[in-house]
Amino acid sequence: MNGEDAFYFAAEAVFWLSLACFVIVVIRNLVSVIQLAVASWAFWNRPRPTARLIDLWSKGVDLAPPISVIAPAYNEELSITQSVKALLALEYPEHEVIVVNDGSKDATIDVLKRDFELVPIDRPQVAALQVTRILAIYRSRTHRNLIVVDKENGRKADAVNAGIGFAQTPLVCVIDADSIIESDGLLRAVEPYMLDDGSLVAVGGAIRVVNGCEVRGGSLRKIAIPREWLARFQVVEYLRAFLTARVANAELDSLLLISGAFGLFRRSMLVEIGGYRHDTVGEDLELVVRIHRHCRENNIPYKIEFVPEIVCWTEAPISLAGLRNQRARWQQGALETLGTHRKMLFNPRYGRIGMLMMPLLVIEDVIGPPAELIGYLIIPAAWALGILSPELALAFLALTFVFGTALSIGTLALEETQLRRTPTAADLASIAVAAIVENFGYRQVNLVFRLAGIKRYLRRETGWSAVPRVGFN
Amino acid sequence: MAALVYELSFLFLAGMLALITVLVVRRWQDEKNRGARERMRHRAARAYLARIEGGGESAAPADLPPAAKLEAVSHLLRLMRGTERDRLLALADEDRLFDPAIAASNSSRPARRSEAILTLEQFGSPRCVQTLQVLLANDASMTIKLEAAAALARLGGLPPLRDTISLLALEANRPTRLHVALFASLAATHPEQIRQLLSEEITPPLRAMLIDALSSSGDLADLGDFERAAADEEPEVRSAALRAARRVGDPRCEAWVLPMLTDPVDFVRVQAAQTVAKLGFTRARPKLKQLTTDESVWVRIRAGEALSLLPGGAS
Repeated sequence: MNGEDAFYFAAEAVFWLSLACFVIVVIRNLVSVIQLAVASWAFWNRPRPTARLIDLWSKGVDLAPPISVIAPAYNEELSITQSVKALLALEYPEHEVIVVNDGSKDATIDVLKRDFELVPIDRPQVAALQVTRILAIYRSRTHRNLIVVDKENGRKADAVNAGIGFAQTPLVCVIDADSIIESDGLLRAVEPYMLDDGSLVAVGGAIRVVNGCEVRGGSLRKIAIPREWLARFQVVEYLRAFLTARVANAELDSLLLISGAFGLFRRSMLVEIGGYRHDTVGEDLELVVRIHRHCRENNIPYKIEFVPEIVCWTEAPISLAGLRNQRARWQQGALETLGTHRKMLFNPRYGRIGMLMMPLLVIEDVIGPPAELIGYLIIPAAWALGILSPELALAFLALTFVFGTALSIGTLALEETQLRRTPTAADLASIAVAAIVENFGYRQVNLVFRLAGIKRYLRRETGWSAVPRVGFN
Repeated sequence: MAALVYELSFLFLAGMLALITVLVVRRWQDEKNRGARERMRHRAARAYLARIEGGGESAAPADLPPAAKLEAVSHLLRLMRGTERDRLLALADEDRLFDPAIAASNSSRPARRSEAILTLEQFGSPRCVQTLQVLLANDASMTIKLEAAAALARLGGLPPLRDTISLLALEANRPTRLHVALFASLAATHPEQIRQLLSEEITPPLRAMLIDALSSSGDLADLGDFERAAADEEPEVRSAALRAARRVGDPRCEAWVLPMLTDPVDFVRVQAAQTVAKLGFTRARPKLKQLTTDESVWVRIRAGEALSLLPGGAS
């Protein structure tokens, strides 16, 4: 091969690589626009949340299915009392709070013992799903519906599994230690179960970024938007994820993810599938995929639903290092789930989960991020070298910057017309500006962070990268 | 192709930017006009109060928007009772304030029909009740039918229970917890209809639902019905009988509750253990001790709990 042939070959390779990146970006945008359309349709037809039906059933304690709220705690001595008090104060006819102290190195368990007058009890574990040792079980003398499980350190999955094992209610609500549940979040999330014919196994709910809001005593007092731009960008991202992607997927009976920050599950289903897996950092995604797989393989009729009303607030990282850890972990978790359940890919036995959602996960989490990132570098270069037409290069940039911005703005418009939880017109305008600005820098940085997740997955790293929190106002 | 993608992207962005601009401006105007809206609502309320007392004009001020009048009437309804309330409803009907909600009840969008039900339930004039009854009878969505039924139950406008069951297709479908809630809310006002239905041939899920509902009436005269249900061949009906016994809380049911601790079906034994604990039947203690080694983990757990709750503790 002479120099001219080599150049020709390289030019061909660059051309086809550019085209591949372009096509992948087109597909990702197409999927997003379909999701926006389906979500708009779902909202258009969906009755707005009213208190009437809740009024009807919440008066009868017997009619509301009892719920165990499982709250894993690790080194939370400063905030655990307020968090538990907020959980105990949730509006619900019959709920129990199971705090699982996951081998905290600080005084979390001592604070709980002191503030809630815990006494040891002998409570049978219905299913032993955890891999670490249970040290003790306590019940509060001041709050009969508070149970504390003290165990050796595992990870969140292990702590939640221990809690599921001790739950005795038909439904369990799994939350993160730093989740702030809306006061009527359980009532909202349980509503699909009130209309259930017995096949509903899980319900997810919308989660928002709490940064900037006023939080007192573990409860949300006043909604506001974050001061930091990094958190504002994440507000836009959460809107896109929860108001378009999840709503649309649920509408198509294809919901693949119920966030670890809040999920309401039928306890028997979690026990049946063995609870959360301990060997993945994306245990929330893996759990829902496994529910789909289990039910489809065993011909069990099942439904997984999503409640678009806000049920929970969570703190977003405000440093790039924290964001990097979080996004890399999400990426690694998605790849691990894909690896574990690769059998479902393009397998008609798994219906639209195998034929549609799993391939979409591949596009979104395996080839999407590197393709877009490579596209940013190679497409302008190819255009500069005359390998690619300027129209194609401009179309790629339009798709990533312009179309992406339009999608974010569209989601924000959906939120404003349907839920209207942005406090003021000025805040709405600020979020709209963030939706534009996030496409110029933040989006690309996120892609780099996701590459870090791919690297971790390839290296089979198993460590849990902590996301630094600054706490609430 | 590339040019099309390029143009479409900008067109999409332009459309979305225009939409969000309109929404931001709308929100800003909403915030700005909050005071003016409040003043209009006060004016409308004063006008209606004057009309009720017969000292005002015969019609509401024409310059007030219907939404302000509706808000004012909604506010006043919460404060009024008896003839004043009836007069206010008649005036609102005369002003055709419910017309938009009645029109929305025919919308093809379930969301709009659901919103209409909210308004119609809130006012509950004869025309509103009639529209709700039409929704219950003819709507294509079972959820909307159930919402209409719940609204009618609150307004006392539900058709006979047999017809309600038929309209909600409960003979063919399994009742949900919301159906139980609906019928429980009717138990105090229509217990005789529920008793009549229980004496007929109905499906076991429906029977269980009616037993659950009837127990909400708190009428001790229904103990006989519960006892008969406790002997039903369907375990879910037996379970409902035990829940009913728990709710009614009459110690006379001890004679038929205690034998149910040995029911062949585990979830009935679970209910029985919970019932003896709630009602404090200490004679159940020996049987409960046996149940602590039951094959079902749930029976063991509930039996253990029952023993600890009975007077004298788990000893």
